[in-house]
Amino acid sequence: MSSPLPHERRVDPIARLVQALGRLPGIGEKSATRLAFFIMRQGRDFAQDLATALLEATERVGLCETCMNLTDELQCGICRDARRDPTVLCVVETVQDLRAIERSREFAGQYHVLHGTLAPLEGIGPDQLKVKELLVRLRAGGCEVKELILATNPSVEGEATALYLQKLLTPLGFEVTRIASGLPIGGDLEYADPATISRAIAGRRHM
Amino acid sequence: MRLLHAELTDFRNIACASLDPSPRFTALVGNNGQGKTNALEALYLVAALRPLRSVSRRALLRTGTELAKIELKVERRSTGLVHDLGVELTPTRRTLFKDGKKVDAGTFIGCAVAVSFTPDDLQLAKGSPDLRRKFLDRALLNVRPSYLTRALRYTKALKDRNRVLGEPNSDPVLDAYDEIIAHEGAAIMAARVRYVSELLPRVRDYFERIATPAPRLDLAYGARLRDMAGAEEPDLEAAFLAKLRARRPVDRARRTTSVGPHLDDLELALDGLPVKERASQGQHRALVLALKLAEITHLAAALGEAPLLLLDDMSSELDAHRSAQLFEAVGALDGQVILTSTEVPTALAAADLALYRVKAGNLERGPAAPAPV
Repeated sequence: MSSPLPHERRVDPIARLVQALGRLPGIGEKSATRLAFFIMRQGRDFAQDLATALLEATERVGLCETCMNLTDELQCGICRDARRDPTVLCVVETVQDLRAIERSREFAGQYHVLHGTLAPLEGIGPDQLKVKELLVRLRAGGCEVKELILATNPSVEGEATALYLQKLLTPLGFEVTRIASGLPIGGDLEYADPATISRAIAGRRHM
Repeated sequence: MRLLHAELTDFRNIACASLDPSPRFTALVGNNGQGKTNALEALYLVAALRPLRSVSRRALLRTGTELAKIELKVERRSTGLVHDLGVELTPTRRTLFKDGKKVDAGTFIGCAVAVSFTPDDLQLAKGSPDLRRKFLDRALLNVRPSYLTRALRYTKALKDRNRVLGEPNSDPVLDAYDEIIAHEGAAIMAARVRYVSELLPRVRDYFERIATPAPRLDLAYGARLRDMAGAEEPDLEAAFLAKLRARRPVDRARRTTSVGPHLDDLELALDGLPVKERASQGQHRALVLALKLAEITHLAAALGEAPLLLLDDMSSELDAHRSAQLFEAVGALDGQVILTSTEVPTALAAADLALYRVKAGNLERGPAAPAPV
């Protein structure tokens, strides 16, 4: 057994695992410790499987060349699906948002993922988002898109991003629409926060 | 709203304290620096989600601790329901609880309604416009809880715009932010204009009763978009947007937004002259008292029940006559009052009074009447 070199710092493998798990969102030190000991109890096969899954996902999955969704091929499944309506394009902030809309099965058009919103205080402007890619796509020959649905969040950042895109895309001759906001279906009016109710009342419609 | 019970843990200099206030008057009595105002501040923080005095979050935690808790039991007269409201503070986070469940600020705000009256308010009439904007914002927050989200969105968009002003080739991004600022800002201005017009008759009425002889008092919402004050919200939004566009070159040079509700003022005049130039020291006091009383009675009318009133050391700031007028007006509302004082208040009937002695961060319930010497 060779003793560690004077300059080589010995790292406790479990502490390292706890630290790595603790970097995940929503995981504090307590949860990270619990997860680490769970993994230790499961043994080598489990750890091997987890490690391979992590590596494969990060190595093989990249951005779809068309819509910027995550995919392990050049184009994602949605872009390759010929049954989807090529005239309607839904613009979302994140891949999670795309997945949420897909789960509803209410939208059969195509997507474009911005990978963020405008955030001046963090130095994020249009150049840091996938806006250039959207314009290239819309200007390409054979592009059939007529309507763009801006499905960013109703937060200040999401709203600013939608307004920016609207001003950019409307002059190019596209029909630009914005998703509505208001009360959640299946949620009780009673439990909605005042801002949501205020917005829902301002956005009321004739019957 | 009625406060039934309060528990404070590691808040400011208070390690642990509990309070069972009287339905009418509760006095926190002690020497300066013992923690009277801190107790009041805890109650205010649950209602307004901001401290009475602007300080860092760290300063709200007792020295050497990492978690402060404020837990209140309140009864809403309008619904008859009792709610448990909790605020937990760490150096970096604030967590809100309603009836044992974690909730967001939008749901929490408005569950407890309190109006504070502190020595800082005495600068209201002659101090900087910032104080009067704060007065309007705090008052509106109580009347319309959705005002909080509006104000937060406006402030966020304003910060973003100010940053973008310094970036080259950023006109398209500024166009987007201008629209959000105009939208939220017009709603804020319209709410303030309406509030000032509702407040005016009440302030005049109180002022005439308190100040003798009383000159003619006028209040107006002073917007830098002067021609717009009083306009309807959609027109206001269009006018504000046009102004933002027009000011952009100037704003770019200064890297700050030079028009909007963040710069407006509540203008006060006596016999047509600005209060700052015209009013005597006594008239200033009378005007501040009239403004606060108008705020409280307007809020009580809007809510259908009196808000919790928090008075910080007012007996040392107002003379006996004015104090009596304050208590009389508050008493007429049948509201609950918690006040701090260096001496046991004598103007209040002992039957209505709960007394707490405050010393070095401890609250101890005492007999309402001082022991005979």
